[in-house]
Amino acid sequence: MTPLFALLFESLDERLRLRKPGRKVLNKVFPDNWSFLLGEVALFSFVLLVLTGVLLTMFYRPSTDPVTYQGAMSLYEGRELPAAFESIVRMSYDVPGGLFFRRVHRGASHLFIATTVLHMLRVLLTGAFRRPREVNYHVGIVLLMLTFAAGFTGYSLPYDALAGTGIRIAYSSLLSLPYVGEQVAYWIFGGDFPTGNMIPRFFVFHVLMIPALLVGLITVHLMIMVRQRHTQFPRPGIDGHRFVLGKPMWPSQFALSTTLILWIAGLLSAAAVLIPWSDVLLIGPYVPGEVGNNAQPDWFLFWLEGALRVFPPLEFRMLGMTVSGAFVAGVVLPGAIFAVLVAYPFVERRFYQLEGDWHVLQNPLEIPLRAAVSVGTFSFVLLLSAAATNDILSRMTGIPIEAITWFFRLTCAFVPPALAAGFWVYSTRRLARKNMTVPRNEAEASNTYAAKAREA
Amino acid sequence: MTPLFRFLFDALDARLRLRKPGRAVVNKVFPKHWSFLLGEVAMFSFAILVATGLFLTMFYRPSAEPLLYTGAAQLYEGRTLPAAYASIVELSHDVRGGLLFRRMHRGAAYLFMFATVAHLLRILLTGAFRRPREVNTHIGTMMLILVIALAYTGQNLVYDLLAGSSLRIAYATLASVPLIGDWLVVWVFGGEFPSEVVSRFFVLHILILPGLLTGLLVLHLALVARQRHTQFPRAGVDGQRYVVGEPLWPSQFAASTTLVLAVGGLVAAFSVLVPWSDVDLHGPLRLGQASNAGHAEWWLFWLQGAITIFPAFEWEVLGMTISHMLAFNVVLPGALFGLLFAYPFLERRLAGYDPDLDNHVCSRPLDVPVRAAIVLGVTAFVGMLTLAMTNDIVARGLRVSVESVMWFFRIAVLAVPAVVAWAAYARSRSVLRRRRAPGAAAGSGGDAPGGAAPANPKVSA
Amino acid sequence: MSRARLLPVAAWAAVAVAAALAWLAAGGPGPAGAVQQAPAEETPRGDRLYTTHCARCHGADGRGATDPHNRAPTLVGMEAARVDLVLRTGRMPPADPDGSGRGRSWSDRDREALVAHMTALFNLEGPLLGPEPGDPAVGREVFATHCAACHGYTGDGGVAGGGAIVPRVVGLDPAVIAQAARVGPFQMPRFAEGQISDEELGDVVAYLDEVAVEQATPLGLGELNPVFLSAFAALLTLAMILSCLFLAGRVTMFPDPEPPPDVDGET
Repeated sequence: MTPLFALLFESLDERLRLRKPGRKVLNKVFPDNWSFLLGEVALFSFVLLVLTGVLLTMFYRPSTDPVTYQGAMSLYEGRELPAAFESIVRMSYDVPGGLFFRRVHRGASHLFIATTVLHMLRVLLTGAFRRPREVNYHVGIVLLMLTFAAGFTGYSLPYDALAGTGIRIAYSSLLSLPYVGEQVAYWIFGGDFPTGNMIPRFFVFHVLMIPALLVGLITVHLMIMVRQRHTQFPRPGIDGHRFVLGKPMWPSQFALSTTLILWIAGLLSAAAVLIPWSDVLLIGPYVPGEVGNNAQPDWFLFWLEGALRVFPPLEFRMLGMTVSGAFVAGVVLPGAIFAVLVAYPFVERRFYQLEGDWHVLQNPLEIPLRAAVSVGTFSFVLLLSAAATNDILSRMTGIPIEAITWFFRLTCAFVPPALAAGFWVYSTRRLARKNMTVPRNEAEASNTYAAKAREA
Repeated sequence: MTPLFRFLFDALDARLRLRKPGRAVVNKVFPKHWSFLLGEVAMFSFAILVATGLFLTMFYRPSAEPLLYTGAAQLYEGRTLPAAYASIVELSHDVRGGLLFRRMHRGAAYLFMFATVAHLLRILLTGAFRRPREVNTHIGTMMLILVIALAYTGQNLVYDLLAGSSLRIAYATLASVPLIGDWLVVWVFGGEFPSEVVSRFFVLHILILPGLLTGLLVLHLALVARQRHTQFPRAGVDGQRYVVGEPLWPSQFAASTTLVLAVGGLVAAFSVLVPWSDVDLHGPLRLGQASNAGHAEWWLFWLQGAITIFPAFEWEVLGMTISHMLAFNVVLPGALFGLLFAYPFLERRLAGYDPDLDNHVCSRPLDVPVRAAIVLGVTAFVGMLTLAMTNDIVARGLRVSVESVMWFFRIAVLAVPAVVAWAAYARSRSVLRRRRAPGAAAGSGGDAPGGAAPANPKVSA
Repeated sequence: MSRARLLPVAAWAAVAVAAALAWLAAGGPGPAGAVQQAPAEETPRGDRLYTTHCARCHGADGRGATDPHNRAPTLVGMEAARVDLVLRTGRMPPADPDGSGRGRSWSDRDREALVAHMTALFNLEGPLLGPEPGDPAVGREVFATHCAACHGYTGDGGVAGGGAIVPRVVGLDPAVIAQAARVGPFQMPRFAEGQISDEELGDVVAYLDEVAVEQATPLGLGELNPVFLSAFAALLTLAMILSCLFLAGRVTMFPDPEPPPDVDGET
């Protein structure tokens, strides 16, 4: 320690007794694997989002009242625009560095959501959700939903034409709720669409409520992870159930994490210069009643958009309420997908009659149920996402859009179950070939692994 | 435990091993004294502020653009108002429960401010800031600054005529800072007074300041938990090594719950009876308009008081302009807060404590003469400045000319604190002398500072 | 008045009225260069071009045909703007015998000669449009109101159902843009003067010109649709994953069993 740091540390330590907890924190072990860094990337993108976001709030005006733009962009000079869109134009053209920070913010949000999804995929595939980690897994799913909400409210704030269409779709999805639809839509939006309260409320959601929940739940997520210890891949000769093998926090993991966050910042800055992440300046402000062709939400909502496009326009009356296609595709379907994800740890435990706590990860190809459910769910979501691009595909290939829509209807209905069945069969055969069954507890699993190590 | 709770708790405990930390938390000791609850009152009013605030953000429009108001308020029906003020009128008249939430928000804000200052005074007067708690005291001082900033930004979001005057004063204050004044003004106000300031203040009020405050609050409580709460001396108990009090569960939990309900109930009751925040008659902010008898909020009186009673001045020094705005709105609070930050170390030097010894026992306010003099003197000074702001009301009430009231306060603001400080010092010295005098044991009881027979050499009185 | 005096007055009045009518029929007063009456001129060049490329389907008399194998419409009385449009976009003559596909790109001289020839022969009606670029700000608002529903917010085009593709309009010739709006080819509706004035057509042209030159990044990318942006997002995520692989120094997900390392683990 340098003399200055020693002086500061001593004066704090005398009052707060930092040595013992400090030593514990510095010696914390981090197991080694590239896929374990995905959660860190998500966390660091969130930090960058908060930092750039605070800067953007200094210039953004959360209101749809008409304002006259006077500034450098000739396309809107002297025209009346909603205040939110006007502040975006001003931020991009009249504030030095404004467009850069807007793009870094947007790019970081893409990275945040993407790495959160990939992190969840890693947890699902490697079995890090098994007992005792179900609570943390559920906290993670709530975090995933919050990132989607943050992304949606965030890209709606500029109030451009594309975002306004998205808000309209969200409003209609709320309306489609049976019985309570109209009240809920009125309550959340503060009136009938479009209200002057929409953008101020979205602003509060995006800037206050969702980040507050994110910070709180991320803290809980990390605290539970620290307490329960990170899972790790099996290693021969090490009892993974009792020991964690890896790098200490200081200096190794600290160096790695520092490099990671600096690299993310650099990558996002380069991307912000080269890629126009939704500048929306040419799209223009939202005028209710005007629509544009070629409209999609941001990629993380493609699966919802695809579900809405692919689902047939049914509407039937049931028990005195109207159930529409929008409700089934926009509310029931995502609910079902999340239900599958939430319930899966308990389903797997019951199905394979697992016992005890698990701290070592497994190969998903050797657990048929997990391979089938993961592949089935994710292929379903991916196909629905692809379905959202049906008009772009139609334009690129020249195939009529109706044919493409039918193609996606059939593939979304039949391909995921087929893939799931295929992976189930493969996984079962693989187990048979290796003369294994799915281990019931961690001791059995480590014995199997040790036996394989001896053979090799 | 009920069967359901037991099932849930066992499920969580099997995974997270909650029993041992749970037991440590549940058994935490809370010493009992009415003044120790002031911090809790402040915390609960913050919770009420957040809850009512979330409701208010659903209806508030952070913009100064003109909006046509069509609603129930007769005074403004069919008129064009700045959107922020229009949304306030809407909240007050057209949203069910809106006025109640607005009043509760402001009432809780006043309570928060009051409780924080009272809590600070308690800390200062009982010596709870002494080593090892200086860090926590500084965190608390920073929180006080944040609370003032929150109240200020919140008050100006209403965008009424009073807000206009207060914004103008803030603008002038920022501009009065030498060298960087113009840059500060552009940075805070966005350069165009006043329309940009609403959205900036909105972001400050709902995101940045509450975020910082919550972070500091968590740190503040964590430090209290780690360093243990101070307590008053008890006969027969070594206060430097043991904390005597109520456990968290069930006693303190019951007491705190009662306190929460009481605070909530009182705030609600006062909100029904007292028109805290009714700004209907003020009217919206219009540039160029101001009203007579316009006062700042009560917690800013101490700043405004100095400006009210002392003459305006403007000096040119080394090419910089030093004005009365700078002196009373920047230098004076800067000096007072500087004193607050420095006070733990200042008292240690003045009262001659051993710099290596910890202290965990409270003292009575008059136990340390230097402390009594400085703290009570400065409090009297701030109090006199606060009262000085009411000079026009005093003049009207007593039918005396405003100038004579002004002169009275000019003298009082300097004389009264001096008298109070001297009196406190003298009284403190005499109390101490009587305690230490032989044969006065009958009167000292068990209240000797520092507790009975300190056995730990690492602690001091 | 006697009849002898009345006759010259009536004659001059009739001439004046006829001249006024003729002047009005010729298009009357208008902004210079915005709307031109289609010139009518029979030329050998035009005749050669028509006979070579058009007469086979439209007939030497321009009346087209009604048999099921030849669906070429009659050219008599057709709008000059429509003829000019299909020639400018290269739709006529078609590449395939059934009338679809773009067969030929015409030079300006050839096209003008052909149109003038056909105007003279078949009495093509209406003016040709060649709008001057106007105010892009107004153009953006007009585009958003009338055109974006099919052509997309930034004129990228889209899909119109039933196999119909809406083309990209950025970078098109101003005459094509204006004439397509007035003529309403294929499924596109017609926009009359009352809906989009000639001046507003010029504004739309100016807006599309600005979109065409928009270069938001050094890579030459303009405003991108979320679908294409998702490709870039995937690229960014992939770059990030590669970085994680590099930083962690280990590529395999499930390492093969290896000799146990000589270190102490930590509980």
